[in-house]
Amino acid sequence: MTTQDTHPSESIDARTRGRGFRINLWLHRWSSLIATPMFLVLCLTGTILIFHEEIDHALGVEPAITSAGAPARPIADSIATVMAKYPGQRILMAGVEDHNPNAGYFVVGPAQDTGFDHAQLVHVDLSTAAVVSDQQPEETFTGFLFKLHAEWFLGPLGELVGAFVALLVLVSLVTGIVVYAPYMRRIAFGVLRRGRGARLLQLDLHNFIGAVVLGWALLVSATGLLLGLGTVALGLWQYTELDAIKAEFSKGAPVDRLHIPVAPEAALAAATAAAPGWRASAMYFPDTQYATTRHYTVLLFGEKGLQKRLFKIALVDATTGALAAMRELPWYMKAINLSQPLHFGDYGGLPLKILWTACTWLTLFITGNGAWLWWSRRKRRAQPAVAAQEVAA
Amino acid sequence: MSKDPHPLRIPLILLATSLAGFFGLFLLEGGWDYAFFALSALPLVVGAWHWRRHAPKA
Repeated sequence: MTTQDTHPSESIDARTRGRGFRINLWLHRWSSLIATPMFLVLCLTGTILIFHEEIDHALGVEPAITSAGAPARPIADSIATVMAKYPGQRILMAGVEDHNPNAGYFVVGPAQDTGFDHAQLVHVDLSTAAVVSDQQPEETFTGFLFKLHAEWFLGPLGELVGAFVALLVLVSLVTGIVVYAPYMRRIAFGVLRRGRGARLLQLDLHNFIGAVVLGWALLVSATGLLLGLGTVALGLWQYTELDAIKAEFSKGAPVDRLHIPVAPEAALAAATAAAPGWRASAMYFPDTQYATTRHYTVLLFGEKGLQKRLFKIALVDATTGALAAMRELPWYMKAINLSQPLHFGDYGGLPLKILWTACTWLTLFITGNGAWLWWSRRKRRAQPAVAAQEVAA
Repeated sequence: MSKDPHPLRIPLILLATSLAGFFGLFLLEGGWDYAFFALSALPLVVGAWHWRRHAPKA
């Protein structure tokens, strides 16, 4: 939504209103205008990303793993296959996709690395221990668009740019509600003043559509803000709670990172046995960024409801196979985890995706027409004769 | 000019309705899905209804 100042004969003159109204009007106008170019890109890429599963499937970039019912082979077999393909590297992380228990993935990196800067993703069919794909996410069409949408190709700095845009949109929405109230006293909801000039019609459309998509826009911009702060939050967690865990549990000699005494299956079994109703979805190997020098870090997801969207971590001793600790994530990490589906609308099947697309396009429309309202007002002010003619008409 | 003392009533009801739908669909599973989806989509349905209602007669 943008300005409330309209055709002179219908004007809600900001100068006659209080200081609070004028501040809100100013904030609404400029937060919208600054966000507009980037928001247009986010809406266009976001529309495509809503359907990323369908697009990946149509383009054939999904790993082809069809053996959902077959028994899985030991994880050591898959690790051996991956290591044969990537000699001189080691496994940093392993996991399994939600939709298919045989759709495994491994993250490999240089043996001396603990971080993920040079890591590569490898998809493996756990029932055959065969590598089915080593295409990296950013090499796909939707992966490329996601990099643009989430990071502007700038990495963590780009995430903060996205968070700033989301904050501007939030400011625009909240101040838009404030400046919308006087308008609603004059014009009944849904009335479009046709035949009285393009500006009035566009203003009515702007306010009407803005009111219709307000709930969706608030939800998507608030979750976008949280997701944009994801790396900052992860860093905060890493340097506070995770470092404390590492300090507490790293006493003793580190394990040989290339020959870990306890097999991954044993670590997964120890973690799941300690948390009934939770399933192991991924694990970080010892001596990596999110694990201690002698423990696996296992990520456990709930089976139903909100718990499916959240996870807790279990530390399993890589020398004994015993559970060392179980930890919940802090509230801010939980909020960010929950924001992902609420931002992309991929939790309610195709009908919700279509609704998400409709809301995105309507928001795209009012963003563009809001900028047009501002531009046409400036143009009219620069040409008083034209404005006078419009009043006379 | 309308004398409505609560001019934002309709937009705020639509806002609350859609958010209830989005969060309900997200948090609960099973037979309530259709009801929560209907709540999510209600603002658009109301908008489309108003649009048609105020459309110029052919």
